[in-house]
Amino acid sequence: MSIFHLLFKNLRHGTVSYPMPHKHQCTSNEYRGLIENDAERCVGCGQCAYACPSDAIEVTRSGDNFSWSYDPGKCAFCGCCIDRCKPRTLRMESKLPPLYSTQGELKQVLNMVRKRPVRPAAAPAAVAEKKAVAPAPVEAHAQPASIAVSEVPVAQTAVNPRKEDWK
Amino acid sequence: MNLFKQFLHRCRRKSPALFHLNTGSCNGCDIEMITCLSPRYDVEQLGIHLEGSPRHADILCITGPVTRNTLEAVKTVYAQVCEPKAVVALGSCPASCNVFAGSPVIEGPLSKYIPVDVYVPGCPPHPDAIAAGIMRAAKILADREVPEKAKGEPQK
Amino acid sequence: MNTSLLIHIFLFPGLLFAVPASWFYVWGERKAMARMQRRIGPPLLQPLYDFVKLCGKRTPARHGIEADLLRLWPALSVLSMVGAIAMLPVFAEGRGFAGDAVVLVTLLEIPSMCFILAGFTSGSIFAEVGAIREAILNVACNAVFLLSIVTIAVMAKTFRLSEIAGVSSNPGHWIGVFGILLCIPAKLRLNPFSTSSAEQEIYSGPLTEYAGAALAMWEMAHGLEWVALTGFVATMIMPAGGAGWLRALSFVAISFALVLLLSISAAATGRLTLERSIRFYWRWAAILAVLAVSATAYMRFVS
Repeated sequence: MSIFHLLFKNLRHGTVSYPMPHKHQCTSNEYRGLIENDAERCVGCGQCAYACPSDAIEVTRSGDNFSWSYDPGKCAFCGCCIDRCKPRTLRMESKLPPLYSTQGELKQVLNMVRKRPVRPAAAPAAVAEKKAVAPAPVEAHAQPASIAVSEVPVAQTAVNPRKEDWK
Repeated sequence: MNLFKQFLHRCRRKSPALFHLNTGSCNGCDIEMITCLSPRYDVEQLGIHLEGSPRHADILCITGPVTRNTLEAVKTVYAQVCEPKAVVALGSCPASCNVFAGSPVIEGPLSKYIPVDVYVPGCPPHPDAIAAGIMRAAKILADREVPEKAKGEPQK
Repeated sequence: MNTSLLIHIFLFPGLLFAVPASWFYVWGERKAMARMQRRIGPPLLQPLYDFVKLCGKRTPARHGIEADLLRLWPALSVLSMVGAIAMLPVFAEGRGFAGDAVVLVTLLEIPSMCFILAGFTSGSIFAEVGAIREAILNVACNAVFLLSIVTIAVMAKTFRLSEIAGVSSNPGHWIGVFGILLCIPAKLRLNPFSTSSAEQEIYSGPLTEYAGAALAMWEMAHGLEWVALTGFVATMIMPAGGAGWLRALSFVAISFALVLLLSISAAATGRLTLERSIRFYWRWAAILAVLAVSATAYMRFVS
């Protein structure tokens, strides 16, 4: 008879459902959503592409340019790329990825240009220069816009300590 | 009659019947789809219900990269669903085979064999996203025209 | 053809009442199940949306006699159910059909027969398995159903519907009503006796190959079965007397209360296998029914 008690208790206590379609989407800060890259600070090391188990991230280099592309249609949302990213430019957004209708529609490509850095005489000058530079905003959507971020290399040196190792 | 067509359009949007097909998935997307029908999300409010037979359904929800063993089943089941129909690919496996790409027993993305209307990204996708994907597929199939000649095809 | 007959067939409790009532009862069952599972459940017009959507689908082409047969079974089910509902003794004697319980039981049996035959005509292996299950369950459940009808009729000394309708102080009458209530979950394919159209287990059972308008007719026949069976029990336990509209109202109210009762039993139980279902009917229910008939006959003929 306990099943009948359970049924009547359920009737008394009401529903636990979200009314559909509900506006707020229940994700938390730790939700594994789409990968975002920071175009100003990415160094193109390619560790994320190496770590990705499903080849969702590709990094190709030619001369001073490199492009970083990410296809959410292939992504397993595992976070291996974020674990491997030393400059901490990759992060996961905490909202739901959008629906799409054609394969490859959500693929985003960032083309970045890095000039070979001029070794600064003294570090404080580089830091001051970094503040003076206004980085151009990068389009991070499906159109492969090649926006050169060429003012950044000097600041890059200051922000990314690994570059010091490359003599 | 325009009024009847409008009413039929409304009924098709409000009553999507699903048939769920697993073409070699790890079952993560299947579990999230069942979660949609559980008391927390309860998509039956929108009229969505699972059907036992592909002939009874409008929307095919497919999970998994298409394996060699399930290829014929996918084509057969797609042919058995009656017009108007829509296909929803859940997760990143039907879209691109995810981590299994390049395997000799994986026959490749789903769009090589049947036309896909909605892709729901995620590994596995969130139940909210699955519900939104099914509603979008219901709208797509409601807008779809059933060919008149085929409708008058004699059942003799 | 007197107008009273036509009103019974087409107006109340016939076609014009039965079709919306079937949608309402089906919605009531789904909503009650949802609320008992702490869900919200479908909106009120959901069965109507399902019906119209199914009518608008393109059906697969079939050839030969199979095509006509497959469309015949649901049509026959719907017609027999409308006839059964029209025969229900809602109003006082002298209006509409003066039918008897044997005709009513025959009409109530036809959808089960058509369900089984549709399963065998479909040519699908899942449909055959479902049809076999339904056939075996039907035999077991009908034993109890018919013995209950006989108990009621022997106690009331007649098979005429208008005589046996209405609440009565005979204990045989109440035993018979209880027996009929036991059979209704098997006839409506509800839990715990839903093994013949086991959802997902055998791919929709006998209706696997149905699509489009024919499937819409099957859903309509199923809804009308709800109305007919709950209406039949409602007429057995309705208080006698009263004006026409009061009787109609109490008929609908008691039917819907029975719908809710059946939903509670469906939500509380799981699906029994075929062996356990027929063991329930043959072992317990048939024994009780035989005892009831013999006790009734003893009370009628001896004392």
